[in-house]
Amino acid sequence: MLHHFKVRWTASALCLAALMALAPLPALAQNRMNPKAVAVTSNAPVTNVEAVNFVGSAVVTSRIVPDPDFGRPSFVMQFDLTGVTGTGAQSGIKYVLTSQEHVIKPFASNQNVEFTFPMATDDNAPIAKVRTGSARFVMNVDPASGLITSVNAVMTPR
Amino acid sequence: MFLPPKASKRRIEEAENARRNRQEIVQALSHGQVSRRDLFKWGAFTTVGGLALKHGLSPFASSVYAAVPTGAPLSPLFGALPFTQAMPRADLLTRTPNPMTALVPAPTAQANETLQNLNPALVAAYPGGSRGPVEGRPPGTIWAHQRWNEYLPRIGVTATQEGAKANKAYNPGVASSLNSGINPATSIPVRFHPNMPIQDANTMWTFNGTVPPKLLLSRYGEPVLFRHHNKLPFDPTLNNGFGRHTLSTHEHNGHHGAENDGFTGAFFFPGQFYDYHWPLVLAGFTTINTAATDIRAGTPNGSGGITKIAGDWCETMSSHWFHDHMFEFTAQNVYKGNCALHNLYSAVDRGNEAINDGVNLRLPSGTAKDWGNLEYDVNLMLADKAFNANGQLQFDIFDTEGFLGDQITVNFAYKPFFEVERRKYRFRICNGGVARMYKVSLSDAKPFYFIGNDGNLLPQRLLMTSTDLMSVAERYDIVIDFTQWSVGSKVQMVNLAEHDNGKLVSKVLSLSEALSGNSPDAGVGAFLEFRVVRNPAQPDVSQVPLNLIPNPSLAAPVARERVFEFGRGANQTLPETANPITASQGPWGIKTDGGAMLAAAYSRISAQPKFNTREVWTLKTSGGWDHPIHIHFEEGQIISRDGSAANVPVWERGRKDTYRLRPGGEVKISLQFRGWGGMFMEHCHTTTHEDHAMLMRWDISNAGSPFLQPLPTPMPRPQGVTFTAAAEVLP
Repeated sequence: MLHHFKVRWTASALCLAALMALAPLPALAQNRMNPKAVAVTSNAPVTNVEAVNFVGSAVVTSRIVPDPDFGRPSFVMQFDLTGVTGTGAQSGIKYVLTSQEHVIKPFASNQNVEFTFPMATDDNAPIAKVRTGSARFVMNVDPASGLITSVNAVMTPR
Repeated sequence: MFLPPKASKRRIEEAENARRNRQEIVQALSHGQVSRRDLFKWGAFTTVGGLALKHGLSPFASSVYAAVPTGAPLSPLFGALPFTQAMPRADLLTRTPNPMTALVPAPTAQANETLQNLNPALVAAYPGGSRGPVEGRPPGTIWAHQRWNEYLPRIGVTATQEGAKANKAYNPGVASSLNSGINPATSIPVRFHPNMPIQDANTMWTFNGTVPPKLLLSRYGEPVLFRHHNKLPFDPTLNNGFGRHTLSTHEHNGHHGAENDGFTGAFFFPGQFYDYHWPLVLAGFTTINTAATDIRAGTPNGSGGITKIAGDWCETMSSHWFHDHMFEFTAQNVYKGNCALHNLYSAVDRGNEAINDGVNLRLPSGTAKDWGNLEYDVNLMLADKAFNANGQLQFDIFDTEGFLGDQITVNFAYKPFFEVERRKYRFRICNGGVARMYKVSLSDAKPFYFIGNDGNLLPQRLLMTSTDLMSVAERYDIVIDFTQWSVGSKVQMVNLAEHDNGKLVSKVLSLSEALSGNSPDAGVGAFLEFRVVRNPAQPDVSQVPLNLIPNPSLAAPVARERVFEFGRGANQTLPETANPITASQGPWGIKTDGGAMLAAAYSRISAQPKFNTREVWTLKTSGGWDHPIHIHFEEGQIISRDGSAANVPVWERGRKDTYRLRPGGEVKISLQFRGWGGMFMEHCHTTTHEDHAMLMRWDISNAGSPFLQPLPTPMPRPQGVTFTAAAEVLP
């Protein structure tokens, strides 16, 4: 499904690039989303806590928002971690991730985003059993289209 | 926006001169010596929204030092350090039983037109006679309290709006040990920190003239008569440079008739009062559960039980606030202190964590009273402020893009601390600022529960380590479980949202970036410190259930769809009348259904949804602006974002009343128009945008008497409110 979407987006991106050269974008063009799935990798914890092996894919959805008022475009990103699970390296405890994160930054062709997230064994886990982690996404973005051309996602338990 | 701490002395002097120059024009404007139209003609405002770059006038003027904005000096703090003062809890407003007999004069369905002599200073400012009515509400049947006899007030609340004075009657509603040791018997001066100067009486205008911000506790099924006395100076020039002495009080987002909504053009004058009737009903009360048989649609009965009421229990609301909505002056007046908090209690959210009846959600609160316990339920009013060299609050109305304060206050206290017990607490966070957004996290990234958005409990609690961006007027209810820390621990609430200016958040920072102290925005970083001081004396019996309040049904047919586009370059189609002014100057505006981008005029009706119908409204913007659009009257549900339901984040999948459009974004929402009628509003809640014409009026009509179609527009004057025909009705 993602692939199908991407094909449609590529056509839209050409229009977008053409429009960017001419005038402020119509709202419809700006609203085109660019979802990109990325397999996550795990990092060792910095502090003295149990390591967690993260598997699965995070989905990054992004769009570039040109605006003459701001001097340079904004880059709007959404990160969905619901496709990622974690397993405690020693305990074997399975963690479910439910986070969605929305981030706005000035547009740049290299984007580096870091945020924290909770992970729990299930919906009813007491908060004392909830662990947290941090996710770091390093992305390259095509400045003409706003498409993410490459992304690397590293997740670290805290 | 603000100069860096290491700016040169000369650069700071330059900026200070610019600020003084601007302040003179601000004063002339607020005194009525010049109009906004004059300023547009002179070029002080550009037609595209910014302040014209006139050296010495604009904070964004070209500087001799660099081709970057001059900026304004950072606010002086007079040696105040973060987390060196206790955060005061909100101050409870007094509830008076039997207001129909206890209040003098007695409340009336129609406005009280008893005449009084007017103060000469008021007559000088508004010539036309020396006598006027005691109540500022528009007279007659159209502005009479709707369903008055059905919902006669049972609780009276009287408050004044007046200049800053010491609080000698502080009532936090809890023992001092649960209020960080603050002794309520000690007089509280109006200042943001003990090291900082006391605010002048005409710099801050607050409810009852005092701080901390006020809190009203009310319960469903117990109608409130809120009598608001305007005790501001009669002379409009006595405002210390900003703020308007006329008021209109909006109970955000109350479900009641328009006469009680704080319509922007239904303002009242010093020396008058206005009776707002808040019936506290569940939406849908005329068509859903009309026989009041559903136990979940109820209210605490005072003795542990539930009194059932009509309406849809899925429409139960919890955390409101009320604030000024004066046409063109909302930002200034709210910034000056016209904002208060309002907790609504119900069968499901009763403010008692022990009652286990299968209906009560038992959220953290307390147990001593049947309802409305505050021991573990804390209101946090966030407001960014800026101070001049004398430590007095300052405001810059020329910043039409979004004024930012560089210092964060909580409950009008500069970066305070708050003592907590090692247990669960509910925090009702309200962004009471002008343009600043917050993204809230805890300093060690520990998790918390997110339970409510815009005062509405979500269908399910969410686990988070940081919130989404929180725009002005949004309310986030969260639960922090302090058992995650040991006694003696400290943890801070942190803002991750960095602004370069008031346009929008320039960057969302990582937690480590926000805590590094390297942000040029002083509003970034820790702003409230929790200190875990002891274990609770009693076991924590509160709960945070997975399931909270499901969304109301969207089964009603959609009667009509409308599209509203929020942007710049607006034109005014209506003439500016001499006094009062009903039409505003841009640069901001709203397009309706593909029409022209129009600047606000409250005598123009942009939409007339029919009574007892459901409509779908699309709100959109282009460019990088991130407008938080507030629609008065009844909570809505976001159906889709940017064309897809999947784009609606989980924290927005409940009910809302303020909808962030996000840059270049679009939301489609479902709204119902039922129970009440009259004229309401829709506007950007970045209040500088709202005040510069990003506001429109819509009416609920065609419900029969007493609603007329179209409703006449009120024209308030101290000598009495007159009416004029609606100047324009959009198709």
